[in-house]
Amino acid sequence: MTTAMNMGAFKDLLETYGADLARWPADTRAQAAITLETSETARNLYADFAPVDDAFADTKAPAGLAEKIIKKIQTS
Amino acid sequence: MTTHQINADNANGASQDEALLARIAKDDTTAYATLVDRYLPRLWRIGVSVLCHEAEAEDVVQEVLLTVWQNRHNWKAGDTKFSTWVYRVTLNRCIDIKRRRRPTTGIETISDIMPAGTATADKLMADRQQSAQLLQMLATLPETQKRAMTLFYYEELNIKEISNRLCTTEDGARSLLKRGRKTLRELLENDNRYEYGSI
Repeated sequence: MTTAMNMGAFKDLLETYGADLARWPADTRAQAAITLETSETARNLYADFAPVDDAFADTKAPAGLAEKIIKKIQTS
Repeated sequence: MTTHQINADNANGASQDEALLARIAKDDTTAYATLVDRYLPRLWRIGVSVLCHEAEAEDVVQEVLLTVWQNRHNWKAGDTKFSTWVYRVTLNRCIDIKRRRRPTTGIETISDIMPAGTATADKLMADRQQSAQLLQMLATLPETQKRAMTLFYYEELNIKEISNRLCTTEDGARSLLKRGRKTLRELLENDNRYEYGSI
């Protein structure tokens, strides 16, 4: 059964490989996923590093999503 | 472009955020629309990365951003940065959805979170683009750190490949990535330093 990794190891991997777990060494990914699910500290760390990956991969949200959100607040 | 100049640019961005959020607190929907445009791509990426399901990611992003509007009068300055708060809320919501999707099995492998080669992953790669701000930040890094970061993100090389390209050891490549990422994180943090309390 896969268990969470210690926070030092998680932070070290996050600093090295970034917030995209698909880029982490294969043998660490399942543990990292569990760690993210079970640790608030891990999620806070993840939130700190996510902007770096985000800056490199400026993924486009679906066209019209922003307008849909604005429309909802205007009609609520 | 110096680090000082970039920090100044980032400070301008943070000031713009502050102005927007103050206007939102006064029910300004135009300011809210601008904030949505600013954060939507970032929240979307977290959503699709964790959920690998665009419809669910769309629901999460809508829910989080609508919560910001619905609680606009309750925001107060505190220890938590707005950007950190909004990323954390989005991630927590995605994880909640994943748990509900398969409540008895949990996550066994990374393929449950970010399967490589899926349409979503392919879309992430296809949509990748460089921002002028990022290029300015990269320019401030020492050459070897900059090369390590660009090899990692733009050429998607692994540690061994990066070490070969840079004629260094694998530990050396890891160290370059860590230092480069730390610097970029600090620069980006300055860009999102608007401080907010919890909603």
